Amino acid sequence: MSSVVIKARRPGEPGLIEEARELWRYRFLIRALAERELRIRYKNSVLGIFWSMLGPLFQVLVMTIAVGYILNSGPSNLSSYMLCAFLPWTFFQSAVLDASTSVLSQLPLLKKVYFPREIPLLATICANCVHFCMSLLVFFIYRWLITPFIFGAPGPPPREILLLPVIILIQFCLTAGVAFFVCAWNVFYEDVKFLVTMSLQFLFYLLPILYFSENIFYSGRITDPVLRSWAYHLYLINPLAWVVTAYKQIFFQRQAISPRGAPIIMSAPFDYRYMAIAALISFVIFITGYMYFNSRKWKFTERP
Amino acid sequence: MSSNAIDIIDLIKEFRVYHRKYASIKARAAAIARSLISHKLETGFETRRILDGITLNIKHGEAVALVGRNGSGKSTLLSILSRIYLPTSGEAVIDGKLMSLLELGAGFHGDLTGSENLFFNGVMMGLTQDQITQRYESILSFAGLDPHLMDLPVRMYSSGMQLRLAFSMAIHLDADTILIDEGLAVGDESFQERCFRKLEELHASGRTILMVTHELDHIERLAQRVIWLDRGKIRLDGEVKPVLDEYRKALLETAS
Repeated sequence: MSSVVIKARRPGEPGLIEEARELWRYRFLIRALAERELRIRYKNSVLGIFWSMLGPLFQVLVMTIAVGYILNSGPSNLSSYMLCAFLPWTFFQSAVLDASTSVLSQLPLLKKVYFPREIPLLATICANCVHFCMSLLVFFIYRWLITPFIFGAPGPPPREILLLPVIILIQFCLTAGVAFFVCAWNVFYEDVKFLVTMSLQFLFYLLPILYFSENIFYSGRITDPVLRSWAYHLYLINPLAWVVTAYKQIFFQRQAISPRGAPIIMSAPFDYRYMAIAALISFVIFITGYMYFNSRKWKFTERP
Repeated sequence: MSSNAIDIIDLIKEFRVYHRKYASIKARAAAIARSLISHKLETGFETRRILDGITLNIKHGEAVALVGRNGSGKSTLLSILSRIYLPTSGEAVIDGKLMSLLELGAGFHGDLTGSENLFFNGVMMGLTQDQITQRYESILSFAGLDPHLMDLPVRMYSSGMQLRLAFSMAIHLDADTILIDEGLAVGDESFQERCFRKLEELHASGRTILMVTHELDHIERLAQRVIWLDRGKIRLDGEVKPVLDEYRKALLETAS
């Protein structure tokens, strides 16, 4: 029979491994909570899950008109590029926003039953991740079944598409890491949620969703080629910018991404060095976020 | 395995009581600015000691009741034992699996069906899916609910039905130690009676029970030992009759 020792904790106790082991013991609860969240989300709507697919499709349609037709930039199949960047962005955005309030909304439960405090947060992110994976299916349908009738057959994706699970994993770690910080702050200061909403709007334009990261490399504003390539490196050091770029690179063959008539810009090939950097940074954010969260989590239920 | 189900050694719990609630960064910043101007540190809170050095042992198979006036720390003690709060200092060791009935049906979600809720709650309490499937029938029959009701959303249940389901779920968890926080006032008379018999049965089969309640009749029926908490300290600890007599006397004194 196991026994549980309950006592005050010094900073840094009981250590990351021990916390992770405790979390592992409750892994079924993460699954149950994530399933529950997905179920509740569409319980009372007729179209159910289709709503979440229609939203991004509609948004992408509007963005394509604005960027592709009015601004006249980007290739002819711009809409599929935008969709494949917009979906992971939606995942990040809604996961961070949902996670920031996840512990707060489960607080009544946390005051009644013991389970690791990170579970509501991780379950929210898992639910959003499942959601994202389903929306990728819609992307596949859009790219390989619908748009071929308009722009011609796109051909098979590059072989780097096999890295898709790795990229999703990197994005998952990054999202969870950011969410850990945001959530731990938001329990005590509910301003954080609004701050995060604002920052996310800013971040949207910082990511290569409406444009391509290659646009930075070929920017006409920076004349010095050395400076230009450094700006490009710096841009892709942001792990989320890399993640969005990577989705574009694994779903599309190299092709000209400039509009017809403009100087030709080729999309960059998948680069493993950037992946290594992004993976490292995401992992560090994940671990530090988890440690920070753990250092605060016993205060959650004592929130004034 | 030690001989005690619960060992509590010099347990102290302090809470911060905030005079002002800094729910926003702006309010916090304003408070800091104010304290800078007035040159005195404004912490905005005081610490209040809710549990003040509790030491007690509960043996395996004992049925113990906690009594005390409101705010004496009974619920805090149960919360610490069910790992909702960490103690400020001191230690508690719990031997074996613990189940706490701090609030029945805490995890129920109105939009989900009865069986969905049942499975979710079971997983939350540490059962596996298979274990819940095995006990499903027995849980339903104890709660006295129709199986076809389980496909309806829980919000369509009456509150009594929800509580019955929750209680029934809770006693099917196979815990060695059961913590009850005023959880006995459940459902109608006949179901209450059934709950009581079940608890007596669990106790007879060697489970440890620690309960908080204001219903002294319940205590006389179920408990063998009563602990009287007063302002975070143990005032009396012993056999049911003498402690309850003293407690009643004190209650009458404060009432008059």
